Amino acid sequence: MAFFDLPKDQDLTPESLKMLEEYQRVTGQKSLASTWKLFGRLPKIIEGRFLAWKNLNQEVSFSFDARTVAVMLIAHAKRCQACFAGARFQLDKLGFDEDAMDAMCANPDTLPLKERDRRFVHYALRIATDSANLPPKDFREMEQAGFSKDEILEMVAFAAYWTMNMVFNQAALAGLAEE
Amino acid sequence: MAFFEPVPEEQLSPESKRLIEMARKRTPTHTVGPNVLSMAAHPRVLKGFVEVREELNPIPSRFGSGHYIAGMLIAHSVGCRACFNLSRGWLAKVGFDEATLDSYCAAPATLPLADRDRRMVEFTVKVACDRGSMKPADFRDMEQAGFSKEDVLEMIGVAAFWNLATTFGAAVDAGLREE
Repeated sequence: MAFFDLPKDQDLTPESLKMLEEYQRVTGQKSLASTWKLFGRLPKIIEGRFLAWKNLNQEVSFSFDARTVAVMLIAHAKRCQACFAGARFQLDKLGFDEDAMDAMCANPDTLPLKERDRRFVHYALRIATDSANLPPKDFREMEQAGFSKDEILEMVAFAAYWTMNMVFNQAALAGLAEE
Repeated sequence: MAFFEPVPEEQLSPESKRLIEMARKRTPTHTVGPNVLSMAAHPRVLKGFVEVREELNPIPSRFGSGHYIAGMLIAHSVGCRACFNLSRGWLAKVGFDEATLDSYCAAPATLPLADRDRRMVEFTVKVACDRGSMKPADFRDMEQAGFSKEDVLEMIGVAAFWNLATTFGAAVDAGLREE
């Protein structure tokens, strides 16, 4: 028996239900991820995650392909099974085959992406996995690579959002695992 | 010269002003740090950060000072100076002295807190920093110690928030340092 069980739709507030439905619709999932639905018991968590997803992940200047590759690689580095599977599901829909995805995980420095996307993925992965050791010169390097200050803040926000989301997903899966 | 710069108060948009005011009300000294003012250059990023903090790490918290003790230890563990200083500032304001806080950081596994507070802090830090080793038994232990499932979900929210904040804080802090 798992520690957590999922709330039923009728147990959710109308606001939570609306946000969860929008999340499911936009992400193209057939059913809502259990790692999101679980938190329906606490509407403020749903609201916090949903607003962060919209503001820090969805409405950013980088391509969906690049963001999804970044999520796969961040999830791979942080061993977040749910995010890793979710990113690969999206990449499969975009036309990347399993071998191509495995190759990106094995060698994140040589991604088959456009130069700007490749650089975005490189920096997002770096910020998500080692932000405490970023030297100030890295920001000048990003600027010289063609990113504006606004885009660099978005990149930081994107990486921060995913580090947060992976905590939710990994902890939820641990609490939903059968004993 | 630093890469990021705090946005001067007189240049804040009305929406950014509102968000900065929200952030200011939370702090013990009613001031916000340069990293939050730097985010104001990108109002949507600022909005994402401030709103998620309100939802996941509310003040007052059902865990009393525990959420800031957890925040200090998470920031200490990942090396985020900005979040470490913020947490210490808040804890100092509610009566913790420097020597006590130093002793918490030096020996986070043996915190001299009341049992309920100690368990909350330890669980939250584990979710934030070592969730790969979490087992269903960790959740049952919390339940047996008297925490409800909602308490546990909220602790996951606190841990997730501090992962977002430390990633943001450390990266923006690097961009605020003089080159």
